[in-house]
Amino acid sequence: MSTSGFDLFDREKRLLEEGPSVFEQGSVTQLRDFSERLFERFRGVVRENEDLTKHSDRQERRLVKLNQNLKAQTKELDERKVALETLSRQLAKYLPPQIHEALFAGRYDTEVRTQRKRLTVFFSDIKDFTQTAESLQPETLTEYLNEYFSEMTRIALSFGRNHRQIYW
Amino acid sequence: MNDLIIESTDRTPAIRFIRHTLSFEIEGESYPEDVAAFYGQVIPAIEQWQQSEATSLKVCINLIYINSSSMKALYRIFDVLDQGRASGKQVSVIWGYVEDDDVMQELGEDFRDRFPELAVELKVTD
Repeated sequence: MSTSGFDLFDREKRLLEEGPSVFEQGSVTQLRDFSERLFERFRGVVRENEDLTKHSDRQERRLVKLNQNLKAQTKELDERKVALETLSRQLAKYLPPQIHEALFAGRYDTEVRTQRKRLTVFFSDIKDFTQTAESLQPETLTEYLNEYFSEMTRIALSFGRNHRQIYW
Repeated sequence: MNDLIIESTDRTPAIRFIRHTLSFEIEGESYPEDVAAFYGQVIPAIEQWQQSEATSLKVCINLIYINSSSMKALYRIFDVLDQGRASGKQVSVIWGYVEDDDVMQELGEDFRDRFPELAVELKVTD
């Protein structure tokens, strides 16, 4: 309901209000005049409704088309997201968590430049490694090393270290 | 008959009704929260023109989107324009639409068919 006092249907409403008194008390001339105005407005309303319906159908078609495009784009984005998540999981195996997280959050600067940093270098050697390696199956050795690296990484990370480079 | 200038918003078109150039423009999108309140400013201005001594009006309509209620208001405007034409005023209407916008093009064609005496000209805009 408008607060302006203007009514888009004022012409139709005026005719509806006028009708009962014309039908009850109006002369033949008044009835004829009223019928003509009523007919004219009715014709106008039918035309408006025809065009409104057509316009509404066209808008609906446009919406359906937009919706289809949106669904196609969403599907494509979902596929890219899955690919990116797979890549992320693969990279996570080779990158420290902080760098991995910064990289995928778009916060990691990949520019190659000289940097001076205070480092802590930890050297370790597994006692009798060569002898142990010779006596183990490759799968078992890999499992053994992974356990060692995981534990060492966990310790390094607990001190807030964000780089690890392991040589052996 | 006064000028009527209304700036466009996200939901309402710009309205420029200029007395000295006898021109009336609607431009933008039309889906006001209160259609009667918005077009309640515009339709009386057109009715004033129709009842005035002015002998002509150049109308330019460039709408990107129009909802059903606004269409009812536009019909009302066209009715008044047509009455002005019938009473001897010279009325020209340009219906602009963006290329490939079939919906607005076909709506312009509908108005052209409904008001053949107004000679609505359809024009692709930039």
